[in-house]
Amino acid sequence: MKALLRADLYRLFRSKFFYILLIVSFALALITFLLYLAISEISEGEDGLMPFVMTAEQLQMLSFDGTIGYMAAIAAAIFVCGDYSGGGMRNKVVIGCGRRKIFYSKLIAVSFASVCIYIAIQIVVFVLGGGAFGWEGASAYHVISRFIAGLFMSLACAAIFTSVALLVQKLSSSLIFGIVVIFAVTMIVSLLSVAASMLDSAAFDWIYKIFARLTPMGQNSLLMAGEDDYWVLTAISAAWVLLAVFAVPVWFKKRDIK
Amino acid sequence: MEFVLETQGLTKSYRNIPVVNGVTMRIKKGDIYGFVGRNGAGKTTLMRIVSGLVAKSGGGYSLFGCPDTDARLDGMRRKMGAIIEAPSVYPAFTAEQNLKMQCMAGGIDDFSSVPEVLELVGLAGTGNKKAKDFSLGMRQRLGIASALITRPEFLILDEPVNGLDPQGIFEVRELLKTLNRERGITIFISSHLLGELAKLATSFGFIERGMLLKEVTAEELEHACRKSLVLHMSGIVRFAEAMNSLHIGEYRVLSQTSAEIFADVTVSALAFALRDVGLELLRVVENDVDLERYFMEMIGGVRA
Repeated sequence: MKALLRADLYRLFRSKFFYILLIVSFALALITFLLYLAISEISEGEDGLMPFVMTAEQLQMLSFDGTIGYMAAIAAAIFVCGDYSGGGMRNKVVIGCGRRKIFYSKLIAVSFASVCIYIAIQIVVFVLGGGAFGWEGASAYHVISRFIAGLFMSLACAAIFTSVALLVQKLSSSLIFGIVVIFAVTMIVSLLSVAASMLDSAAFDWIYKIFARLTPMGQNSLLMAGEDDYWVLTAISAAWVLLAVFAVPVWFKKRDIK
Repeated sequence: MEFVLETQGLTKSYRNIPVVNGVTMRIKKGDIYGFVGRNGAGKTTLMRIVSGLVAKSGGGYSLFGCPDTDARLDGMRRKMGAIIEAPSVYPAFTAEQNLKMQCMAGGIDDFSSVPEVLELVGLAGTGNKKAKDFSLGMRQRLGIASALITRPEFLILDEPVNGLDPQGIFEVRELLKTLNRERGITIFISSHLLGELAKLATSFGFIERGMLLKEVTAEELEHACRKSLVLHMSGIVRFAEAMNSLHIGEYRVLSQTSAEIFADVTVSALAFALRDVGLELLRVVENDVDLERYFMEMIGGVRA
């Protein structure tokens, strides 16, 4: 396991895609930050405009825009399926590395990549957002809890998409599956949210909250909206990781490898 | 006798259609086992089952005496290396990085054997060139190097000379012979180039439609494939007398006017000897059965 992880991390650190995803995530977070900074400065300088007050905490909430889900899906697809297409996966099985260990090693590597991407986004929030907007009125408990919920959400995304990539084996299928799933979940969550508020229906609100809580991609919308049951979200994300840890090796063991 | 691989009624079916059908075979330690069969005969599937890439549907196998149902099998696989279908190569990495990755995955912390293995397969001078820029032959060599870097005792090679030029084929053949002779590595190899297999293997298995037709040693194959002369004569009476006069012990009578002899003898000597016993030599046909023809005859000729 240690040997496999070492090999996987060696490959990850020498892969361009890892750095590209980091840069893209950081750049997207930076663009969001600059946009709000510009709006804030324009509203301050113009008479007659309502002052736009932005805080770093609001920027933190806005950072849960779904980027991490897409990035985790892409990272898992490229990293895991790249091992299939290169034949590395075959080699590892042939020399008796053990399928369970192979999966755990991939899971840790992709989780590491996802956490790095998440931290790259949060650096913009904490360093630039904190410096420019300040933390006025923010509760340390909420900020830290939200950060942890986001961290576990990233881990859950990594677990889900690593599992998908491992079982699907093909880069294109894995990518399409990941992106379509995120898009579909985001759309359903948005529709349920709109339906709940427009119809003022408790039933829709209930369905929306259940659905959004259960999926890491849906949790984004809750965190963005300022939902504060962070530990429920964290526990659900942790459950996704545990589900992958226990269920996927059983399935993977029976799969034929290309 | 110690066997590296033993299969017992090994079967693999896809949607109830058997691709490997009850194969029972044994590969002795130190052998180079040539696996001969047409495309789709089941060679690669069998190799994939034994390599742990594909689940069997029935039967069983053992590696180094360890049955496939035993939890220690993964440990036995540590003694294996393989190239199945395509060589395992990370295109974005150099040859050296590819081998280091393989070392790490195999739990080898010491990379000192990397230059030696690269030298062995003729990739020592590739430097910073990435594997994606390698020719097909270079990739094959890198695949072989990857299979060798963990110092295996058993190599499974599925079409390892695919895409190699004649010099490359020769070099790989010599390399495999050296590995077998000097390191005692047992090799299980399939190839479409039957002539190449014939020059390399010490035993052979013939597979057709998922079934193992026959296993023979190189000596048995050589015996079956040796040159012979088919003689067409005016009769067969006193033929044995003529053979005795030429000190030819191995021959068989095919019909009332023909016989096959297994000896290195000139046609003129034959003609004189037959004339002395009152037979006229009408025609001589040289019968040179190679591995290809032997195989084709075994599976019943070319199928339309």
